[in-house]
Amino acid sequence: MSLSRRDFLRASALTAAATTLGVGTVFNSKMFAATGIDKDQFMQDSQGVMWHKSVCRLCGVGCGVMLGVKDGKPFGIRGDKDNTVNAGLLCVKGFYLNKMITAKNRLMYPMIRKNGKLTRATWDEALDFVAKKFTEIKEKYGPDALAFYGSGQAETEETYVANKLFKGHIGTNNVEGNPRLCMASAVGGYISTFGADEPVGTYDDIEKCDMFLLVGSNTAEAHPVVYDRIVARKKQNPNVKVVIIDPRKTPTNKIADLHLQVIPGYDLAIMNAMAKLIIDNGYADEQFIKDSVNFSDGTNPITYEDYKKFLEKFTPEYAAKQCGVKAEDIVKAAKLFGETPRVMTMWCMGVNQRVAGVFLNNLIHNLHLLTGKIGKDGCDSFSLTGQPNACGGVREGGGLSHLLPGHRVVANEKHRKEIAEIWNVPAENIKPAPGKHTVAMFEALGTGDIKGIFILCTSPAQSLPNLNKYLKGMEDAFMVVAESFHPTETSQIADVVLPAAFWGEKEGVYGCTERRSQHMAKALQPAGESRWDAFILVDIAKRMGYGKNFEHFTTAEAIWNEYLKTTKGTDMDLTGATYARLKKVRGLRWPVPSEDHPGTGHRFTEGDPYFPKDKAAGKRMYFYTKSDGKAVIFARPDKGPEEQTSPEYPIALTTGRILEQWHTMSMTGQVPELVRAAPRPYVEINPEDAKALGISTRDKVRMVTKRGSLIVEAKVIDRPRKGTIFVPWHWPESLTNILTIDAVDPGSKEPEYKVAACRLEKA
Amino acid sequence: MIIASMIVRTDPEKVNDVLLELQKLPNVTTHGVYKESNIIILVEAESDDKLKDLGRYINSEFDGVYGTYPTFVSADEDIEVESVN
Repeated sequence: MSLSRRDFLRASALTAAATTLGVGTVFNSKMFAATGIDKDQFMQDSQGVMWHKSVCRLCGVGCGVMLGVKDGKPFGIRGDKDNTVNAGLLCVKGFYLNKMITAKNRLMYPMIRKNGKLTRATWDEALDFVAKKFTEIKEKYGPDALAFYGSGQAETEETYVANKLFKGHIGTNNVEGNPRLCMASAVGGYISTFGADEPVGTYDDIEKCDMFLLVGSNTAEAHPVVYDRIVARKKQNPNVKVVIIDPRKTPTNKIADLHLQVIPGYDLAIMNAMAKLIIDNGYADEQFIKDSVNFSDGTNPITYEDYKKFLEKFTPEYAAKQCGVKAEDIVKAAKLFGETPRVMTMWCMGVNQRVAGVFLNNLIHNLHLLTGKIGKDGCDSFSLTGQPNACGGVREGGGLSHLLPGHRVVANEKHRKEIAEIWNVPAENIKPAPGKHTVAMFEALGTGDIKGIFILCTSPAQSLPNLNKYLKGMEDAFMVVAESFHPTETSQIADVVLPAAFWGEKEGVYGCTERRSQHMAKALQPAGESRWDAFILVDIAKRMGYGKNFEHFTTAEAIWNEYLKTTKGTDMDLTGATYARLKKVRGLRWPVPSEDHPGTGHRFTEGDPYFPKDKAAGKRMYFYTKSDGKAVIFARPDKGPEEQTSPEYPIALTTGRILEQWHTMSMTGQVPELVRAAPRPYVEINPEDAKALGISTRDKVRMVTKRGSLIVEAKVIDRPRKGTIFVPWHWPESLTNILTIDAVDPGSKEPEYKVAACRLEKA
Repeated sequence: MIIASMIVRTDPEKVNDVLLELQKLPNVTTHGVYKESNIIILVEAESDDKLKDLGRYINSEFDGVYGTYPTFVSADEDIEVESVN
């Protein structure tokens, strides 16, 4: 019997689904019976495809992905069923990664702007030009007239090389990354509360958790595979509860037992009210507090009694009035939190992208510290990371203006000396003062204080808040953009555009939400003339005269090995995560101090290789990244948003994401299947608001803020709360960030994308 | 020709209702319920434009669906990007 291509594909499709579910072997006879396929025929036809182990290019979950290659070309994608993060499951975006590799907008060759037009150039011409311009700028204006802006989607190796070049050799700390725009408040929260960045627990806690508190997270669309694990947990134990705090109803609400639909920007009062109720109702773990917690007002230490006094005003009634929810729901949420043995709180941009982002992160950690629901099975305050390598490359690799690799800071002399030694440079090369944070950096492009910038794997000309303010600065400065896709809003205004190898075309490591570093195979040759970003930077370093300290970077592994040295002995020790090991396993969770260490589940407790039993002296947890081993509960005020609504701007505008699109659509916008899901920009409007304004679905509406206006299609839907609208920010033809505010959290410098005051009218 | 498969995760109490609704969709065949609440579907169409966006449609319009997860997709397309050695 001959096998038609159609039959072969049907069989492949069904067995892929069955394999993902784990309901049979690849050659399940029932599956084949359904398609009429002879399984022996199928075996013959499925040869010739090499499957390479990798990690999804998109969100911060870190799903294991297998990239299939046949005859040197991408054949397909499937989930890696041996990866415990996703057990083979993929969301719809990750599923189309192979189509992104072969997208029509792949950038194939370097370009230099000549007479106002980007024209094709050779690599030598382009890199000589970049090195010459950067050197001229440095010599004439000083190293701080240069900057690097990277990405939480760059590999750790790429960010490491950039950091070494700019901070260690050029001599500027103007090294930033787009995680400043998404995760900086989480970083600030973790460091101020625990003394070190990143979660205490891991994804393993999900399957042991009894209550999930989801704050400012549409997990179903932004972290679908994590959402699926929560769904599975709830199915396994129907008593598991899900409580959501969010201004918007989302698909995540399908599993919610309680939703506190807050006014955007006013949720801090709820956290303090919950803390008060936890203490008043005897849910606090007094022994844990005594053993492992200090209190602070943000400036000075305070006592537990001072903290209780601070909380007095945060009655459920007060918080309910501030937040626009029912007092009884706050009481319910606190009761559930207090009474449920094992609780995880997860949050994302709704918490981080706020002027009170660090405060809100602290308040979430407060609840877990008050109750001792941290550092043990099923319990954690677990921040969900937005990008696939914001943790690994930028937060751990030191790719922000105040950081150095291995969780170090530029302000610390010992840290500078340690890194300088590894980088083989004088310690004086690394400046002690932090460089400019992202918003300040792009402001400096406008004032001319920064004259040259290298942008890697990100598109600030779409993603910056209050966008119009920063575009001219980018046009005026000497801007080099390394990108895999063109045009983007940023590449099209660049002076030099360098084609970068894309996912699947380069080897490297990504570190995801749960401290897991995972290796990605190079499965394909780079498209066109594109090159690996790390090698582009190494080449520039050589052409600028810094070759001596970069010439040994001849492979990804060589870069990774040098980076590992920076982590040795730190709280994020990755010494045991060699390439040889990472290639075999599905990632390792740090600290992993040696090659025979399995990686770490819960930090700061038994099982953490750095847990100091002697200092802990019987205590369950010892936060060794704090000088006295104690985490901090902060008395933080219920600070509201920067821009409050007014009679002129009566609607709260909030921005976010949809399932099928990623960031600025440079990748996902090339996949017809994904574009079909939501082909046009739109704004979600509450039905009551729509009725009052005479707006129906598909009407054109104008959104106006103090910064600009935008016309999009209306979608009248009972999702945003009354008085709020929700706008996805993906479409380049409708730049949502024209409307958003660039006010930043004073601690984290992360902008407040999540709340702005807006006027809505029929267009 | 497009051939794709998907897992539709449902509320266990509503799986049969969802199954019946899925069976009404053009271009879709269902291939059983597994582990109480997972339905495997096969999607076939002659071209892209004959398919609505099923994932979003099923997620938003079907009561009792928690999520849809693609597991396979294939289409007869030429691969246009050349790679250099």
